[in-house]
Amino acid sequence: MKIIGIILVAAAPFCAGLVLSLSAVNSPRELEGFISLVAFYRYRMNSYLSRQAEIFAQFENEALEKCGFLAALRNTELSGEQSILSSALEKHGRLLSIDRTSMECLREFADSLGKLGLAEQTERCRFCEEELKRAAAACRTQAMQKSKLYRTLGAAAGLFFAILLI
Amino acid sequence: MAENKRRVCTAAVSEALTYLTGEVREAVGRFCGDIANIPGGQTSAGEAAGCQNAGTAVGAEPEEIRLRAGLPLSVTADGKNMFLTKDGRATVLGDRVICRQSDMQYAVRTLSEGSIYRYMPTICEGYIITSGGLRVGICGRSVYSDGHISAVEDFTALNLRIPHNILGCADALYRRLSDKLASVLIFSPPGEGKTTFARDLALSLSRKYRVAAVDEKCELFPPGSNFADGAGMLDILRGYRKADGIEIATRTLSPEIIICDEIGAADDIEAILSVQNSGVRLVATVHADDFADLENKPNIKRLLGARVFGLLAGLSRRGGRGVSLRAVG
Repeated sequence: MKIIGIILVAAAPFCAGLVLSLSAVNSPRELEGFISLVAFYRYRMNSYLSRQAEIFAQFENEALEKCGFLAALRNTELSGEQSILSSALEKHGRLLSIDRTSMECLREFADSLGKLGLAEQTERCRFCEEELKRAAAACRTQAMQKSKLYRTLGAAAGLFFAILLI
Repeated sequence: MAENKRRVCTAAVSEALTYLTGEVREAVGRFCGDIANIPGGQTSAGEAAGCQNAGTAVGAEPEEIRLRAGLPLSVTADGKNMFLTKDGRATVLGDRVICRQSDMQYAVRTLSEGSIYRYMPTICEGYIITSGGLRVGICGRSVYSDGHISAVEDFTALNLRIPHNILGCADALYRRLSDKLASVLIFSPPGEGKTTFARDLALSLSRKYRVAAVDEKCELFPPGSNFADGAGMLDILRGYRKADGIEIATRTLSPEIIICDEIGAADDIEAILSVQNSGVRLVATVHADDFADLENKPNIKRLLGARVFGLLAGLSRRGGRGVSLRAVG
C-alpha cells in the first residue's frame, strides 16, 4: 500500500508536468490555424468571390476545432456593426491560447473584413499572414522551451516526493 | 392583381428593412405599417404623402427608400417624395430622421453581406443587387485607375428601390402583338414603370414565343426574386452588356424575341442594327417624355430611321393615361 501511495504521489506531478507541456504547444498550433484561415479566406475571395459566412463555414482546422473557436465562429452571424470574425473574437476569444499581440493583429484584420475592395483586402490578408507567421515562429520556440521545462519540473517534483516518502 | 403586387411589395419591404437600423429602420417600418392588412385595392400613399396635412402613417407602399449621409431620410410613394419623422409620418420641416454615417455603414455592410469585394464591380457602376433581388443604387467617393472607376469608398447615398411586379399590365400590348408580332420600343419618363411593363410583356410573350431577356442590370428578373414565375420559353442573360447579350442570344439561343431594358448607348444601337436582318424581334425600353422627345434622341432616331421598330408604346401613369401606342411606318 505504501509503495502504491509513493508511486501515485510521484506520478502526479510528473503527469501534471506532462499536461502542462502539451498545453504549451496549443498557442503555436492555434496561430498556425489562423494563418491557414487567413490564407483560405484570401484564396476563396480571389477565386470565387465567396461571401464571408460561406468562407468561414467551409474552413476546417484541427487546432481551432479542438479549442471550440471554429464552431463558435461558424455559429456567429454577420451583424451590421462588425464582421463575423470580429464578433467571434469578441465573444469567444477566451477559448484561444494565443498571445495579446497576435490577438490584436487578428482583431485588426477582422475589422477590415468586408470594408475593402478585392486588391486591398488581399493585401490585408497577406500582411496579417506575415505577422502571424512571425508570431507563430517565436511562439513555437518558446513553446518548446516551456514544454521541456514543464516536463523536467514535473519529473523532478515526482522524484523529490518519491525520495521524501521513501 | 392588387394582391400579387402587395405580396411582392411586402416581401421586398421586409427585405429592405433588414438593411436598416436604429431610427431609420423604425421610421420606415412605421411608414410601411402593416401592409398585409390593408383592404384590397387601397393604398394610403396619398394620406401619408400629404405633406400639408402630415398624415398618420397607415401602411403606404414605398417605391424608393433613400439614405443620404448627414441628410434627412426620404421615401418616394405613389410618385411623391417625402421626409419621415421618427414615427413614420410624412413631414416637410423639422423633426425629420437624419441618416448618420453609422446608418450608411450598417446598410452597406449588410447589403454586401460583409463582403464588399464581391460587389465592388457593380458598386463601381452604381448599384448592388441583393441576394433577395432588391436593386440598390449606391454612390460615394470614387477611386479612378487607368481612367475607370476601380473602387468606391465613403458611401454617401443609397437608394433602395422596391420592385413592383404588376402582372397583366402589358396585356393590351400582348394581345396586339399576338395578332401580328412586331418589334416594340417602350418609352416613358423615369419612374413610370417601363421595366415593370417590359417584364410583364416578356412573361406573356414567353408562353407563345422563344424569348431572350438581356438583363444587364438585373432589374428585369433580379436573382433571388420570383419575377420569372409563370414564364414559359424565357432565357435570361443576367449581367451581360446589352451589345454582348444581344449578339450572344441571337447566335446561340435562337430567340424569336429579344427583350432589353434602357437602350441608348452607341454599342446598343450597333448591336440592334446588326441583328435586324436575322428576323429576331426586339422589345426595348428607353427614357423619353413623349413621341417628340423620342425622335429628338440621335441614337433612337437612327433606329427609327432604319425601321427597326414597328410599334412605339408610350407609358404614363400621370392622370391614368396608361399606354399610348403608335405604329411606325
